[in-house]
Amino acid sequence: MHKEFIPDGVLLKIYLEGNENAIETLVKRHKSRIFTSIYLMVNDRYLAEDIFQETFIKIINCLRSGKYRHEDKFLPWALRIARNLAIDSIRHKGRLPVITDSEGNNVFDYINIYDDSREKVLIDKEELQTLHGFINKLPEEQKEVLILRHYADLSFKEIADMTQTNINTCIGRMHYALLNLRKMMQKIPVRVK
Amino acid sequence: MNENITQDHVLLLVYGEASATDQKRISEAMATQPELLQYYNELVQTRRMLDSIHEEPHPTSIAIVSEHSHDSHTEAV
Repeated sequence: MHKEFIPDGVLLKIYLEGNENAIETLVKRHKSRIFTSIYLMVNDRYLAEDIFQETFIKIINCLRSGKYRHEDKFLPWALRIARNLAIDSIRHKGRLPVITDSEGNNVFDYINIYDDSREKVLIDKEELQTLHGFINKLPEEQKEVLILRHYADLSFKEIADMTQTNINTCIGRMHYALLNLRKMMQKIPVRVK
Repeated sequence: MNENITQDHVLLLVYGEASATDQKRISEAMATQPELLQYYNELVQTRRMLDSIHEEPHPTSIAIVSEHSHDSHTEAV
């Protein structure tokens, strides 16, 4: 049976009216976009998990205290919170421990691997790491627009508002981000499945 | 005339932000300007590659958020 799509604004409203399930629906709806964006911003799964949790805890606290402005769209609002937390964390990242295995890999890189065979995961992971590496080599402003447009699915207008720039600047940064990625890919190709 | 169509317009098209009018103008421009068509194809290919990165939070993170929501609701009541 087809489930009716409930807009984010309505879910927020019914959450504030006491329906606990509404926040779970919002989390499930946006978790991949928000988590992928955070992960690419901080490049550390353990830290990304922390920021993801903290983002939603702030959202819940803000909703409970009546500080949420209903004219704000949920996803850009949530990503603004996540982005600010990510920026703060990057500034303090040097103080945080990274737990590694005997080969020096971050153990939290294995956390969400459930379905694939180990061999397949390792092949995929190598390619994904190459791609992650390319994204991390981008100038910070280009990387930010790429993450917010491609992974968070914000419009250029929403990104311009969030980063306090204008749309043309955002489009220009995205253009150069994609151009630079292509240049890097030509040197070390990433297989597209 | 579509002589004002630039790569930025093509970028907006690929990311679904071109207006219906611009979509038509951009398509017409790409039909006559190979460099715009090539740019379009490159963007689509790059988008597809970027789509391969898809991360999910650990279920524990979701559980912590749900627990916090429940606790804050209980406190409020």
